[in-house]
Amino acid sequence: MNPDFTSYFWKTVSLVIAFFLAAPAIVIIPVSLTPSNYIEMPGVSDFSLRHYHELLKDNRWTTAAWDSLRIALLSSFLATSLSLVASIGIWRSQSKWSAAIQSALLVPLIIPQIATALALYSIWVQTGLYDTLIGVAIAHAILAVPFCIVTISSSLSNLDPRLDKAALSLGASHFRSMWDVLIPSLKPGIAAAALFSFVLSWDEVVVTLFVASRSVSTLPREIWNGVRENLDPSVAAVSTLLILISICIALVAWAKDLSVRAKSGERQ
Amino acid sequence: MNDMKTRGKFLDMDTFEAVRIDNVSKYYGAVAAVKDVDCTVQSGEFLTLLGPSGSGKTTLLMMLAGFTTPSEGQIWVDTKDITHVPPEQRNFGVVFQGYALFPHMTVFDNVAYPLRLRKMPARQIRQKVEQILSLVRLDAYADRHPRQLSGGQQQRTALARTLVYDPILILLDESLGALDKQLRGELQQELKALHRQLGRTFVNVTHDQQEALDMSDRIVVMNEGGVEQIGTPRELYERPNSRFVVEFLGDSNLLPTSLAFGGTDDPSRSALIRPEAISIGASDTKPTGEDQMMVRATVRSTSYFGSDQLVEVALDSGLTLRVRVNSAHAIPIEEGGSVSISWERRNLHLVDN
Amino acid sequence: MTRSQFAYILPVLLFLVLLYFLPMFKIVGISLEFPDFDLKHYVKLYESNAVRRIAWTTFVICTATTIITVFLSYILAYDLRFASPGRQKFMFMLVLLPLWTSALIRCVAWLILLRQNGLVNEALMFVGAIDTPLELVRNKIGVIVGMVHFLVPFAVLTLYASFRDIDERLMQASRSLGGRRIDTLSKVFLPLSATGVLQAVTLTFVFSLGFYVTPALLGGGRTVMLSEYVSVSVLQTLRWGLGTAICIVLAVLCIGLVLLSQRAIKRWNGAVA
Repeated sequence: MNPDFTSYFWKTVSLVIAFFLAAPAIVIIPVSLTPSNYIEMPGVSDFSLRHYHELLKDNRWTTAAWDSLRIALLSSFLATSLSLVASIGIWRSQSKWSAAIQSALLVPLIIPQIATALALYSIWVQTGLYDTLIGVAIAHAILAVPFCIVTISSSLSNLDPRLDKAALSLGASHFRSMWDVLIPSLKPGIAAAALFSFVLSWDEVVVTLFVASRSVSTLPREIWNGVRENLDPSVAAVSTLLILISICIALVAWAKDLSVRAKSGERQ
Repeated sequence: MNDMKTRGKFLDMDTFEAVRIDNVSKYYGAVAAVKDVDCTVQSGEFLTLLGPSGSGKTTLLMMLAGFTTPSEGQIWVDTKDITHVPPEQRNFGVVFQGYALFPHMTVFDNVAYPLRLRKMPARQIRQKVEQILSLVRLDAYADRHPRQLSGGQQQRTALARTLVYDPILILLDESLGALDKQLRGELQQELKALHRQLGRTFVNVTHDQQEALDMSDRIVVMNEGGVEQIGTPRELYERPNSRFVVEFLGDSNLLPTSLAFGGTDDPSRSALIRPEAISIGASDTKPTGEDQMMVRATVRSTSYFGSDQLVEVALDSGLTLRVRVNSAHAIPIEEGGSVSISWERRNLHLVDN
Repeated sequence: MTRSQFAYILPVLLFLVLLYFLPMFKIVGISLEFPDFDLKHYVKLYESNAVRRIAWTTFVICTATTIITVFLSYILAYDLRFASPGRQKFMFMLVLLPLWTSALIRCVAWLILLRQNGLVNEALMFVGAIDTPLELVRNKIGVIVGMVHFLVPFAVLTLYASFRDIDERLMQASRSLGGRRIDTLSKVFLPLSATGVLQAVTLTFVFSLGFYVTPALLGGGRTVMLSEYVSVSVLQTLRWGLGTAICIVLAVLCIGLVLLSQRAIKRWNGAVA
């Protein structure tokens, strides 16, 4: 059917807006290839990889990348597993109480991050979590829990509750039913939640600025410092690498999604 | 063709002789949803597009309504080509599957909507809406929202919204499909009465053969995007011209011509005999006339439906036939018993294989 | 809820209560000079000219951001809702690209684009639209551009999800009854999308109230919003009482707005759909 509810004028306007959204990611790539010491567009023919070479030599960036990776993996694991189990509990009970608990779990999403940052800072200093990898990872996991709950709950809502009941009636324990029946059917939702919390941590700067100082340094923190001190092109180079990595992850996720669909035969 | 002139003319047009679907096809990629359809809607008739799902009937209706543009061919109202006229300028009415009542408006506002779009004065709108609501017996429900109505009331609201601006052609897309069987029967009768009363032209899409046979002046049987046969219900039922129409419309038996008529066989054709045209008698019954054919058979199974029963019998050749017997006139029939079955030659109809 | 169901929820509850809600209560305590119950920081908050000025700037920026974001997102989401599958895929790719790009990096890119000798100014001078470069960053314009850019994808996803629930046949019905595209949009689609718009407005406004990175980088110290002011108060001048008081007010405001909009949506849905 060709409904045609949008006129060509508005189709054009929406295309322009879409390009406005894509513009920054597109513009940063050539900037990183400038041969100059300043952050600027290179000439048409003088591209250079010198800032990428400098990145690899500078252990400030490599350490930050390693810390970021470990923190992101840890916080993603924490947030996803806690949220998975909780979402299943909430889904199974479907009561007024569980609905209230679910709303409470979404609070960290609503409250401004600066408030979270102050609150965690004041406690982290007391408990020795301050300026540790674990401390940063926990802080990121707190921010990620609401996203994971929302993502996993929405894939649970597409699941037939009778699946769980069938498993229990056949003699499975609650845990076995979760492990053997629910989790396999929730794989795409779990993967999305894990990916989302990974990216959130990988990109987080506000709370990190408050709960870490010298011994832990993440990539966004280094970029933040780089931007505030002087805008040098190595920041553009790091940014380009990060964009490319993100795009690769997105492509892998997309290809996986396609192959899953192809296997289950619901290609349309 | 989308200019105001066409539009003005269209809204003024209040009668027509015929809507002609002229060699229309619709392709989605390489797939033909509708292929080379030719047919005409006569002014004032109740025409049904009948076919299984995927037969292209809804696509054809959507092309009539203007939501889908044909890949090939034209649609004409008398001498005017409306193929590319947008839906809002056609002055047709559509009752959608699921009714598509606006949930944020009351019944009154739903029905008034097309009149407001036509800039009718408020007093006249009120009068007209009240009149049409009483016609469909919904006057007491004017202030309700659609979700507060039963399925049948929603259907009548959708119908009222379509009738209120006197469209020249009314299109119904499976508009009775979602209702339960009894309600559907009642609404069929109501719709028939409305059609007679208003003298408007209706095009109805359905996959329900009983509905099609009961309501239509003419039926277009569709299959795999094409037209199989067009005719009155009686013509289609008694003189179908293809095996598809035979099997889609009602119960049927297809016999080799030698068995049906006696004499030599014509391998290119089969003879159709409907189950209710076969009679069953005791095994020692004798033929009563020239026109009658009679054979012996064994009863395989019987299904009891109250007013009648369906008997499956096997001939000596192994062929099984379905026979419908009126319960009031039935002889005792036992499974495994032997009977004689007979039919009149004039009730046979030849179909190409 | 049975005990075994509760056992599944318990870990995350403990995690958040101990490591999130407890610290939150601690800063509430700090703002009230616990164990005293002293409202002096809140009073100062109300009396301080600096706080008032920054609160007003924050409000203006958030309002402008919300209006622009929701307007642009409505156009995009409407287009996406009725676009052909191919166009839909392409547009979604463009819309979601920023989500895959770090917020910081996007600010850097906007700096490059919008500064005095940035691409936008150079392009405008090249075509002769302006003679001298425009001031596009280190002021409200830069902050709003950056924030709108950050928030549009979220608003588009929210709106698109609610637009998908609007039955296309309602639009077709309106057309067949004689409504032009514009009638159909204004009398059928717009009223039915009201709850989606309210959700998007709430989301955008609440998120924008807490923005820190974008104003700090694109405001360049001249346009300061509340979050940055809190951070300066606490980290540089060590005024914990004032900083936490602002945080508490912001947090209460955000939760209040969300609850209010949820109630409005519930009431609307009860009345209509």
